[in-house]
Amino acid sequence: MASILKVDKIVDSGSNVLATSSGSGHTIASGVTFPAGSVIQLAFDSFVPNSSASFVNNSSYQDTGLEIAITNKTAGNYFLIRIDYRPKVIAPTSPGDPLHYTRLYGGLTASQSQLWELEWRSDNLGKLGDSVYWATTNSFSYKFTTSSVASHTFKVQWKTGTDGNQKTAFDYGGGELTIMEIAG
Amino acid sequence: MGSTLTVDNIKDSGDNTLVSSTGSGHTIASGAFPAGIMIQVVQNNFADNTSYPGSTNTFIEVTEASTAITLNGTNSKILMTYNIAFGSAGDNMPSWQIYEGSTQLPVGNSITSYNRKGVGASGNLHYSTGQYNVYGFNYQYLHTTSSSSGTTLTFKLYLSSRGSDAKEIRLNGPQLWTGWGDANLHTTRSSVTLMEIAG
Repeated sequence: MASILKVDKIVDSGSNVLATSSGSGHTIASGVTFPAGSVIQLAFDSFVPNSSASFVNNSSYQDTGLEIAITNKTAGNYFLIRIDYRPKVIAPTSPGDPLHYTRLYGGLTASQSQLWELEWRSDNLGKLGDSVYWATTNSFSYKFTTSSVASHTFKVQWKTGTDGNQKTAFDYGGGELTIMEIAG
Repeated sequence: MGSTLTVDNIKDSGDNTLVSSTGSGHTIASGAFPAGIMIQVVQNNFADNTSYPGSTNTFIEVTEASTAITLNGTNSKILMTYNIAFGSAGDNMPSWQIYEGSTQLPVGNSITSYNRKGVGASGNLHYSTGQYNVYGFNYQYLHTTSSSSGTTLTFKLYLSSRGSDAKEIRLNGPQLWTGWGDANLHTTRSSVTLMEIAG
């Protein structure tokens, strides 16, 4: 026959609380270590589409506004980062090639760097007719492994090509940034 | 030295089960997890090539995308991820909305002309060859519930085509897929994923 133990609080020998209960509800302490692969923390950021978005040329990276600061709970855990971002790009009649870049930038807040870059380009699309207004969907996932418990910052940035006719309405379709901390 | 107590069930004083075991496997009660822990994933994926007619400024439901989840916790959050592949007649401006039951979620922008408030996934699709392409509506939203464990929530997807000039939308393939004599060769699959996060 199975044995049953009734308690309202479980504490280890180091006086760390593992679980508590009021008798009508119960909670596992957030500091308890979960098995590898468990999602233990989630952060989310988004911005809404801008129907009045302007097309501009910026050949150096600009912030989209999608940005999350997060501190991992345990060293060695990893962040699963998902980006869905929808800028609108002009394919000009000259030079004919639309060119837009989206990148994930970040890491340790104290030492950020480019983690991933996505390039949108086509060959002579604008020369096929009048200027093409191309609403893009930039979606990708990135796995970042932490080395210590520390503040991390991740942001989504954009830029155009160097030709002045290559322009982007960066906030046309909105975007979302999600980070899940996974137990390592 | 650490102490060890061997039991198969741990209950609180209100007789609620915290942990149960058969002696060879154990389960933590789903209501016990702290905020932020993912406690359930539901996915609906489909490869139907349904063709939706132009909706002339009104939103129509993409029934294939309807996805239900029965909550394991109370006041949970739902992270929803939509990856919808579609083709469209050229020169279209499809827009998308998400509902929970009969309530429109506050996603997307606030375009009020033509009542087309929603997420413009694709804008003005190329009008001369656009009907041979496949586009994507990729979107995430974090929805906070105020529902109890055991409640079933159903999330629905709606779309609207451009203005009064009705434009056809086809799921998981180009709008025109017979023009090159290779019908069905370009089809793909869409998915809706719901993740329940303990609140």
